[in-house]
Amino acid sequence: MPAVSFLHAADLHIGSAFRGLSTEAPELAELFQRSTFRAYDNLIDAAIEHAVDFVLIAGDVYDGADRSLFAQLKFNEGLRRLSEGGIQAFVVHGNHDPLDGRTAQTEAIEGVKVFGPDAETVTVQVDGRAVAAVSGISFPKREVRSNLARRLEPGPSELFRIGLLHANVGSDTGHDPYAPCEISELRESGMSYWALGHVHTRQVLSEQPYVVYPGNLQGRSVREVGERGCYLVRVDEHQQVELEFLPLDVARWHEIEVPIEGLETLDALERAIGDRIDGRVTADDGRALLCRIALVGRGPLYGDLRAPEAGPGLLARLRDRYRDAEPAVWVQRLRVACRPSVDLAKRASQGDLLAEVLAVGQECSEGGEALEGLTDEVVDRLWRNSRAAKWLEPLPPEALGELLLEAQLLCLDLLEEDT
Amino acid sequence: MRITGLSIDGFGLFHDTEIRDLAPGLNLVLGNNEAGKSTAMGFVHAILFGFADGRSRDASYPPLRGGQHGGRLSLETDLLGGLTVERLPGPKGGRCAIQADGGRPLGAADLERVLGGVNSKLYRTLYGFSLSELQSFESIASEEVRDVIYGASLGTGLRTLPEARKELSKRAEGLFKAGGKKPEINKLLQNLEATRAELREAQHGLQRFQETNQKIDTLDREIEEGRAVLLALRERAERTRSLLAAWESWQGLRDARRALGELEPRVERFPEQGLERLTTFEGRLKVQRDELEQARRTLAKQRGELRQLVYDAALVEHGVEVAELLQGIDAYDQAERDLPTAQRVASEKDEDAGAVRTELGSSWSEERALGLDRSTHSRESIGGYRTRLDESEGTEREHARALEAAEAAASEAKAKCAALELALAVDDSANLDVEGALAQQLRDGRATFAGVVRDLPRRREDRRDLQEALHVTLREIDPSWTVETLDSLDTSLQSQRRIEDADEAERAGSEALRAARERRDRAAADLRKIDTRLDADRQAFEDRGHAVGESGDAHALVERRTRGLALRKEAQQLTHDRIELEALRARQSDARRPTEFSAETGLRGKLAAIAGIVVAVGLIGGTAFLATGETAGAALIGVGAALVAGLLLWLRSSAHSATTLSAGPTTDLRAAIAELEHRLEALTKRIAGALRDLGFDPSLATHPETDLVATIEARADELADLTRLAEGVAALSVERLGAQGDLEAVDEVVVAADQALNEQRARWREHARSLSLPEDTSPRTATLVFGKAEKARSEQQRIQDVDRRIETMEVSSREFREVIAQVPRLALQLGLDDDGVLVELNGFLAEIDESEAQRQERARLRDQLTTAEELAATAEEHRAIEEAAVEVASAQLEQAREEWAAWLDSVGMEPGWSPDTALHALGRAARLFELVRDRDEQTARAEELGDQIGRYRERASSLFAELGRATPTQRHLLLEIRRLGEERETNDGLRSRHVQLSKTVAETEEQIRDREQTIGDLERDLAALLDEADCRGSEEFRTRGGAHGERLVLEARIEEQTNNIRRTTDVEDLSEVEPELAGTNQDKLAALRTVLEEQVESADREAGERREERGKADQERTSLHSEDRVSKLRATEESLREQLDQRAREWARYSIAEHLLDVAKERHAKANQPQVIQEAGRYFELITGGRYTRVFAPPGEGKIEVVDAEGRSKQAEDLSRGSAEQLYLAIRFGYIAAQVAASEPLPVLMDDVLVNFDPQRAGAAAKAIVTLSHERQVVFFTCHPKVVETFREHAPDAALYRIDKGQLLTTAE
Repeated sequence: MPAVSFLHAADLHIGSAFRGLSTEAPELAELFQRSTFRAYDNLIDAAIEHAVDFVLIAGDVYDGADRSLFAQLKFNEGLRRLSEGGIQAFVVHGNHDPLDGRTAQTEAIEGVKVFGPDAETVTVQVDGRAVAAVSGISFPKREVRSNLARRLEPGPSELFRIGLLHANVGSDTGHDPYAPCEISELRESGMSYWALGHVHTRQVLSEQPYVVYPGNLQGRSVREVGERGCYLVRVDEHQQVELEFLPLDVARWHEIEVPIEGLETLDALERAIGDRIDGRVTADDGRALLCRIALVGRGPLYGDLRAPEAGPGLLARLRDRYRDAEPAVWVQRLRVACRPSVDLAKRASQGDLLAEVLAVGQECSEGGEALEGLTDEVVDRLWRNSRAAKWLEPLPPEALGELLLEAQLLCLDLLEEDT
Repeated sequence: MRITGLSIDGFGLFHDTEIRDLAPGLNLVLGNNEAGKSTAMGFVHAILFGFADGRSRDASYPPLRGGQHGGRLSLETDLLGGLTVERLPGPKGGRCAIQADGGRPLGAADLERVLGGVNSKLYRTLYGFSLSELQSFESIASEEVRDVIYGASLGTGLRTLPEARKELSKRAEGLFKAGGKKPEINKLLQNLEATRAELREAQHGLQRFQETNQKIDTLDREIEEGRAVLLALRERAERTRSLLAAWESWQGLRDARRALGELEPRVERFPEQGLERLTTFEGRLKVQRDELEQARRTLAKQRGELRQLVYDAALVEHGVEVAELLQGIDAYDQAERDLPTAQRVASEKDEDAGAVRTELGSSWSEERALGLDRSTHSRESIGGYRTRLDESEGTEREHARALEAAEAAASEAKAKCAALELALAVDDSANLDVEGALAQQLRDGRATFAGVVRDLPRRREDRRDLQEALHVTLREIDPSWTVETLDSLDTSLQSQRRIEDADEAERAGSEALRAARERRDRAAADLRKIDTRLDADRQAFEDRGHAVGESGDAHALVERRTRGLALRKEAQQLTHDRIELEALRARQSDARRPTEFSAETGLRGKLAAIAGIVVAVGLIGGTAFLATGETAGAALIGVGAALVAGLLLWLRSSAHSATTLSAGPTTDLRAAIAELEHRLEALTKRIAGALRDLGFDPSLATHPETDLVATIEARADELADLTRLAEGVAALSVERLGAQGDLEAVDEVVVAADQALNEQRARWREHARSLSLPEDTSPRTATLVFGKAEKARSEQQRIQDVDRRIETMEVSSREFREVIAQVPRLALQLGLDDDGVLVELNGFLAEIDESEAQRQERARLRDQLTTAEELAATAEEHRAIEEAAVEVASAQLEQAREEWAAWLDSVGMEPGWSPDTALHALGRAARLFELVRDRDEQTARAEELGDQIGRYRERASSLFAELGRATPTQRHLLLEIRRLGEERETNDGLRSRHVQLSKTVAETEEQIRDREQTIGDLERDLAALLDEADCRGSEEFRTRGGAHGERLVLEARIEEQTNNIRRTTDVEDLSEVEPELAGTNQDKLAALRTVLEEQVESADREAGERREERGKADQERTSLHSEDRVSKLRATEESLREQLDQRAREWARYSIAEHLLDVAKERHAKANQPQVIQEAGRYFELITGGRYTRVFAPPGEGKIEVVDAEGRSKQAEDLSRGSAEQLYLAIRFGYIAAQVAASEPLPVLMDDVLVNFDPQRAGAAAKAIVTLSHERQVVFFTCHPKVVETFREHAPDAALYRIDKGQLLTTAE
């Protein structure tokens, strides 16, 4: 078998919304909004640059079954560029872009194979010689609960056999359990390489054979921090596989914690945050940066930071600081999570109203009736509100605990002037 | 803490006002409106907490009657003893100086400690309030009231909790409100919904893209087809339009062709443009010939003129010289005038120069004077010397003066030294020497000691007075009372309340008994009154001749009266019947007489009878009406109606009887009479019976003369009177029974009240015994005893205070005497009493002071002498220096003078000149130089003018000679020269004319030659032309030329029209259109064109529409293609969700905090039922006289409730205004009482807070305030003397002050 190389990408989510990008900076929003398209362009450029033989795309090309026309045209444009460069492409659709979604009528592109709802195996020819066999299957609809991996038959053993699939391997991936399958099945399937999609964080589940999630091309929310891209896979004559990760993202998400210990002034704090951000930008090779800042720890600035306008004020100043930064920087959120120097447990024993407040807070945090009362009487007033409920995600317990603590601190601020 | 005195320097209308010894307990301050009560309260507040500034809502009370703003408060405190707080104007509420009684300064923190953390606002709310504050408490929102009450136990400030809740609530509501629109979250939700809707709409983009593609294809096809049709139509329309456009040319072509065919004669050869050329030649020949003739005439005339022109050639030739002379005339004339002036000036200047020379001196020739160096350098040298000389002289003078002054100073200093030495020579007196520290100790202690000396007797006096007062007070209680009795008396609040309760019960019991007795007396009196009236009525009844028992039955009387009145009718009938009987009898007797009786007369008689009856009845009715009053009115109407009916019946029966009578009158009449008599008899009998029944004489009925009706009426009236009397008696009897019952009932009440009172008194006696009070002590007296006992205790307390002070003073006196003992001289005097010791001490200290003063004076003189000696030495030195300086200055001056003399010599000036003289000489030399220069200039000018005049005359003479004219005399020279100039101008003009005319003659001759030549040429050309057309003459030439021209015109037209048609129809060959044109006409073509144009327009429009549609579709496709609206909307949605998430968490934080606060407050309040409320309940019960027994703040409801004696609860807001104010007063007292433990009791100042209370509650409130004053100082301001009285009832000894016109006065004043 001659040597062969290909790119393995998945979860392009072209045209998907950027979670948590405020409309406060429309020009930045525009920039970040384009990032999935630009990351896709990077993929095509990488394929051409590395002169690979073909490109595998393992589902979720678009975001949402109602894929936008623009995204579809953009996708086709990329495929056409590959085709013009003599690079083949193999595509399956996943739960985000199942076959029953709206599809624009587009002309067939030479060298592009989009797998249908039935399992199929195609042979890949390079310079007139068969080098690999790609078996693939697309999601016919959004919710596929059956095991699609089992339906794929590996190609002839003399070829490099690839299983191209959008699927959830194992049960605890943090993703919807579509097309579920087990790693053991995949290992025993007879494939040389499982090119998977669905899980957005890249991981190599197995090396014998390779079972690979390349992750998505571009992080789109604070839940998708760090570098994103595709795998460049090189297979030699002896079917030895070599994986290289190519970062293709154009903007990167980070969560940055800044301790306030030892910081005496807000200016110093602002500088400290700035240093952290600048360091990140450098480390990310000058990519655009999106971040959430959390101010943590105890320090003399606590009192200043607890003022209701302090957080928003600092956030506004930071945004202003990076307004015209190159590369772009957007501080999406700034959370004041630092703690007062006062010992709350000790304060709770003083027998006055504040002590009672802290005691009630403590009780709630321990769960039980008190917490139920809090949820019923307070939280649900908004979270169960008929209009708000459909937009708000349920508060996870740790978030509620955090809010409870912050509420206690708020009472502390309001009832005691000298904390 | 209590206020012992206030001293107001200037504050509102107070100025220089002082009050001392405010009582520790209750102080009443009485003053009219605007007398200054609020100001006094404001003063206390201002001194304690600072003056109100511009931002404060409190009044600032600037001094209106002078004095400095502010004053002092003297306070007695548990914490720091006596102290004074003084406040004067200054920043931040004024400068505050706090001093302990010993003079030790204290700080603001000490005052705060004394005030126990009570701030200005709390003080105003609770310790120094007026009615408005009391009422404003009412207006505080209930939640806040509650928080104020709980505030004390919540461990937060008075306001922190409500503010915190409000803040949280505000923040949360700013974020989200169910059903709201404006809060941020609500807005976000709206935006989200709108975005989602838009997104759904945008997701249809794909379908639209495909539809648009199809539409575009269809449109493209249609556009292509339309385009072909339009093209064909346009071509046809275009061709028709061009044929129509060519139609005129076509007509022209046809006409031209026809005319050409008809043209004659046919001339084949003719010179080109022959006719035009012939005309041109002939015209030009004629012109040339005319002009030749004209030129010949002109030449002859010019030659004649030339011959007549003559001029002077010599004069013209010398024109230049003449002109030069004319130009020089002015200069010559000027020179002649200037010459004498120049000569005169030269001689004057020479004279002036002589004078200047003389000024310098006889030895100064012009040369010597002009030889002086007048340069600036020379002048500067002189100036230099002058300055140097002046300076040297000045220096010398100055030093001389300084020398003089130094000599004077030196001698003065010596004199002063001598005087001081003399003064010091006086003998030093010996001085007292006490060790400095001891002296200081003596001085420091003296003031205190003096104070002791002054105050101790006063204090002892005070003590005696107080002791006496205490004895008096105790004796007032009971002669047997001693201090021990007082100590053993339980005057606790509980005991007091018991006495108060007993007093209240005694008062209430007595009151109840008194009220019951009063009621009993009233009931007895009522009964008596009823008996009297009953007796009178019975008497009246009996007076009417009836025994009450007999005819007392009013019912029977009424019955009889009714029957009597019924009889009245029958009596009337009786009367009536009698009259009728009379009438019948009269007729009967008439009938027996032979008189005709006609029906008519009968009728007349009847009418008379009717009238009689009517009158009678009227009389009866009237009588009845008068007798029976209103009831008779109705009866009268009834009777009237009955009469009218009866009358009608009677008339009919009479008519009948008349007829009957006429038939057999006598018989009928007799029968009628009989019948009537029979009826009368029966009636009479019945009436008689009835009369008997009524107790009348029955015979009355048979006496026709009796007015029976009137008799009956009278009787009925009598009966009515009797009835009324009987009814009155009956009613009174019933009333009497009731009154008797009442009396018995009241009697029982009296007995019960009496018994209750006795029981109460028995209980009280028992209690009095337990209190060791005499049994006959009333609760009221006991209260007074308690009051007195309190007073006695307070006096006892004061005695102890004074004792302490006396002891302190004695200790301090002893200690100071020990100090004094250290001074031997004073030690001897220690045997004296304090006064004596003080006098000695003062004398001793005075001596020490005097001795010290002398010592200091000598030291001062010694210092002065040293200074004076130093000064004398310095002055001498100074004098010597000045002397040397004078010598130096003289030497320098001398040298300067020598150098000046040498310089004068060197420049050739007179020795002995001063620098000023030298400068003057140089000035004159300069003047001389100017004069000599001017003189020389003028002399030279005179010579030059003479030369100029000579030269001019010479030139004139030679010109005249050359022109051959006589040289004129000098006088006429200029005149002749001017005349010569004029002559020359005339001859110049004549010569120019001659030359010009000669040239013109030559030109004219040339013209004549040219014309002759031209005419020859033209005649030759004309002949050639005629030859060319083979014509013999012009006429023939013209005829042939005309025919040829016409042919050419027609041919050209044909050519032109052919071209026109070709161009218009766009064809090469005319034959392509000629058949078509020949086969149609203009109208047909026009119609066709219109039709075709309409078709083109329509097709064109359709094509345009399709193109537009296609454009739109294309645009839509492009926009769909490039539009990324879905992505953008998704992004917007995500962004909004993110914002929502953030805001929701923020909201949750605030709401959770609010929840925590609420739950915590609830729990805390429940666990700590506030003492404030308990205490408030006690006071409220006291004030309302037990009407309300409890105040209650239900936890978590944010309300205050009160519970009455029956256990019913009521909301504070449902109370009347007075009761609400009482509640708020009670809450204040509750707060104050609850605070007692926390800090030292602060005085309470109240301004007329009882005005809305009813007298009873005002009394109870006053009592509560008096009770309050046992534990703390109370100052109560009022404008109502009545209020003072109320207080005095409970505290007869309360101090009373008057406040009037800015003065605070004790009542004694």
